[in-house]
Amino acid sequence: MAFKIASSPHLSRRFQTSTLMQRVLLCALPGVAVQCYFFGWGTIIQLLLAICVALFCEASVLTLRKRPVLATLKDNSALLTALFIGIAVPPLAPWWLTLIGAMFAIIIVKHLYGGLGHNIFNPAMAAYVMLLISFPVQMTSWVAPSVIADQPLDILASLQMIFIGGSPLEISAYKMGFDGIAMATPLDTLKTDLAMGFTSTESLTKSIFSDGYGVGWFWVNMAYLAGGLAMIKMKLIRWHISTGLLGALYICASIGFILNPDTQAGPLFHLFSGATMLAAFFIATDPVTAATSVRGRLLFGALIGVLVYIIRTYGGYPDAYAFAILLANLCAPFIDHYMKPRTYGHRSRS
Amino acid sequence: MLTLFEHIDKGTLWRSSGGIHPPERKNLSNRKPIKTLPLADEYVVPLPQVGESAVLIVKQGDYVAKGAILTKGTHFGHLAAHAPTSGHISCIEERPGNHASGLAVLSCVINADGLDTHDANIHPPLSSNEVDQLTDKQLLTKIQQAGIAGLGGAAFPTHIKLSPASDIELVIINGIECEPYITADDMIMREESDEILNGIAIIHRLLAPKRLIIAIEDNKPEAIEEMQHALNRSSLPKEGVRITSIPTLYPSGGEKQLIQILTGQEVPSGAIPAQLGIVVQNVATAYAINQAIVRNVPLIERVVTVTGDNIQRAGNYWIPIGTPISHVLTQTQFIGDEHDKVIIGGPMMGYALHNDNAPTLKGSNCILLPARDELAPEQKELPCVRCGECAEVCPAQLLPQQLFWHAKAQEYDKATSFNLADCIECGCCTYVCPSEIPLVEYYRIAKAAIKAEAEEKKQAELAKQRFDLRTQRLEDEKRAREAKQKASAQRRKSNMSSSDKDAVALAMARIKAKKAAANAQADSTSTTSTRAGAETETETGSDHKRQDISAAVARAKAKKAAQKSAAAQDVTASNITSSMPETSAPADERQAKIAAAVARAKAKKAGVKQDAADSSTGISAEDTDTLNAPVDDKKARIAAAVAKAKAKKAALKISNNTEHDKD
Repeated sequence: MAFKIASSPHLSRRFQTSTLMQRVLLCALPGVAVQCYFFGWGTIIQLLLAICVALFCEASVLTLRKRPVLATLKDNSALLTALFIGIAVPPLAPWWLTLIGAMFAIIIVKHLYGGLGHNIFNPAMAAYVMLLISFPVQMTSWVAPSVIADQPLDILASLQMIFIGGSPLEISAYKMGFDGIAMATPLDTLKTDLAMGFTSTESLTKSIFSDGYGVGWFWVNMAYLAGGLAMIKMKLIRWHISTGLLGALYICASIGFILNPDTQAGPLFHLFSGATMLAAFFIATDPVTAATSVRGRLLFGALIGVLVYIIRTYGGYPDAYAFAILLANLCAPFIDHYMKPRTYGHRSRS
Repeated sequence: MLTLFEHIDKGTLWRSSGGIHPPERKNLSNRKPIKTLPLADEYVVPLPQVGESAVLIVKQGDYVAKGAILTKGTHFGHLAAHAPTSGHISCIEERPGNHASGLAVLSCVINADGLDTHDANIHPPLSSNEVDQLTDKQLLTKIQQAGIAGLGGAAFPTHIKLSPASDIELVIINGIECEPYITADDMIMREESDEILNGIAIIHRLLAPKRLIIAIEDNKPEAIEEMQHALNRSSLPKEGVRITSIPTLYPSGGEKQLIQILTGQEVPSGAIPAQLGIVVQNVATAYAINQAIVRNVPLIERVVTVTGDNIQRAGNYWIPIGTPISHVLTQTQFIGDEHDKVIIGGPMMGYALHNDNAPTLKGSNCILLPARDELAPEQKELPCVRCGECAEVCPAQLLPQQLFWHAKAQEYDKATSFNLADCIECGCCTYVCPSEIPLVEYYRIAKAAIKAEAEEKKQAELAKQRFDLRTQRLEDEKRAREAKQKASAQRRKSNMSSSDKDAVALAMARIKAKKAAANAQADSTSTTSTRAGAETETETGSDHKRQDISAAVARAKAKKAAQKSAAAQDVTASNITSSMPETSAPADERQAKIAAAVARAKAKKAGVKQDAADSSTGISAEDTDTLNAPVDDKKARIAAAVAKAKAKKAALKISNNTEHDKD
């Protein structure tokens, strides 16, 4: 009898990319939920909008590229990109911001470079940077969680804000806090205060902060940290990049804080502010654009950590993950080249 | 700091990098004792060495007993083939081989007679004393004669491993069996532990290592226990020999990985463990060695795990080497069809066999018959997302993803720079790949291409060398020829003295003069010359050589004639008084004298004329000579003939006269 032939190994773990992405999505859900809790319906609306746009773009480009559409959509990679865009855009940002971001991420950053596995830059982060540079006002108008807690917006009002926009007065009135100061993110506030000559300790006593952390942001970060630890436990990601990133950021922030406690925030403030945990566990670990060897990943993570600290402290933008990650993405092939592991039976790297 | 041996005695284990934990499924086959199968109708013994380093010593129609030797070879690496059962050799021909390629291999086909009669050489077990009395050389010869090859899968000739060039400090007996499904070693350790230990004792004696480790994975507690009891019973020294349990991890059973786990050392790339003073032998090989030494039983059967969901009677079987796989499938109740796979070896490194007529080999430790979706459903290859899982699990610490990238792009030099050659094809990377990329297949293709490329390069290099050598040789020959010519020309020149040159010139001049003389004579004999001229007209086509020769002959004759006539004249002159019978003697005498004088004068004149002509014509004469040569020659010949006739006549006349005078 003639039998079927195939190359070994004949055994497989049966754990596919789509499953992997799906589980990453699930692990991100706690963080997303906490973000929704603090920032209202806007976040969910932006998320759904980003997902719809991303999937539509992905399907269109795949059709144009004559690739299997449904099979590729099932790999969940577009979904994951959409998720990160949805949660990175300010919850009450106008709809076209998300639309442009998602389109840019999927069509230009991902597919023009060859699709899944071939893109150099993290699509979500590239889109975020593009939006941030092109539309700085819209991209930085985060409504403080305390405001939302005081004057909660229902789903209809949120939809109206996002899709129709409401009158500028109304929005600005909404965005005004009790003290009449336009609310930015805690990192933004701290940066502005430091520039105005306040010490960091003084700044941290403002209403946007509580217990030394930004209101809401602390819990968002905690939720992403939990999701990230779960991912490491499930071996969805390896610990190297996250550890490298958080370690480098902690060390840099500690040194800075010890040297100059008045003008710098403490290391823990850095770790639990802004997008730190989201970036450390969910974005920097995007395998396509990260370094691949063990030492390379540690270095890749550390590079992001250092860049974030430098940009946060000395740069013009309050948060820095998108920039830091894109810069590290650029370095990934270089890092991989020099961080080749020593092969079994070889004395040292040739 | 502890020495390596102290670490070994303590049972220290090192970590090997990478590795995976695939589902083992060993209990499909390890819960029943090893059984035997009914005899097959025919057995196919492949003879890959015949024609290269060995010859057949049997022929078609011969009767062979079980264990009878089939091949003989003088090569160091020769492994004898043996008849797995008794019967007649029905044919010796190419049969489908047990190889991934399925290529045919020259095989000896034995028609089993069903009696399974043992060869006379197989004897009852020797006592340990008798074994001790055998010399090392005898032991090695016996092992070689028994055709023992490594039974772990690679089937490397055991006698070579057991006669290393350098000292061996550590012997590792490999009872790891890390591949999923396979339990052949597990079962043989449980059932034949004493025989294995005897075999290990023989290895120990041959290599005299400082330490010997029997390594068994911790998923085989029964085997570890049996082996420990057997070790306690055995004659092996208690210190320096130990059983070490290794944490279960695929591919710990790989030689390089096992050495790393047990010693922390790495076998240098491209080297063999013996260079570290280490030899690794499989437990089943130790069993076979014992059989060969103690009972003289060659390696004609082995334990094979027949397993998988497509087999109803999964288990371990003593299967004669050369049993057609189809026979095994029938006997163990195979329930699959042609859409299923027949895997020789385990699910990680085994190869799928196309044709089940192929026989089992010495290295075939498992026949795996998985049901359709038992191992891995067929998946489409997706794009690599660079997750790096492959690098995490690679036991050789390679970067499989980079290797894949370069192998797929056919950038084989880059792939080589990422140490593709160090890939042991264990399959861990493919196992974990979430994109279902058949990485190992890519590496195999790349390796084959690199090998072919290297071979091509070698051939091209050889061809270039050949061409260069040929060009060089032609050049040398040309130069040698030129040098020789030059040398001989020089020699000729130097040998030729000035007098020789003059002599040559003189000779040339003489020849010319003679020619001219002949010319002159020819002119004088006008009547004949016209005829001769006519004749020469017709003969101008005849070749120069002949003419030259005839001319020379004519010249010589003419000379002779002239001499003769001169002589005759002299004679006449001397006898003149006594001759002249009829006519008045003085008148005759005077006439003859005058005639002779005239002839002499003529000859002299001609001679003078010749010389004058020679000297005057000079070099240009040569040219005209060659042109006129045929005519001149002819004329000369005629002239010579005329002169001859004249001289003869004259001589005759004179002699007549003298005769008359006598009378």
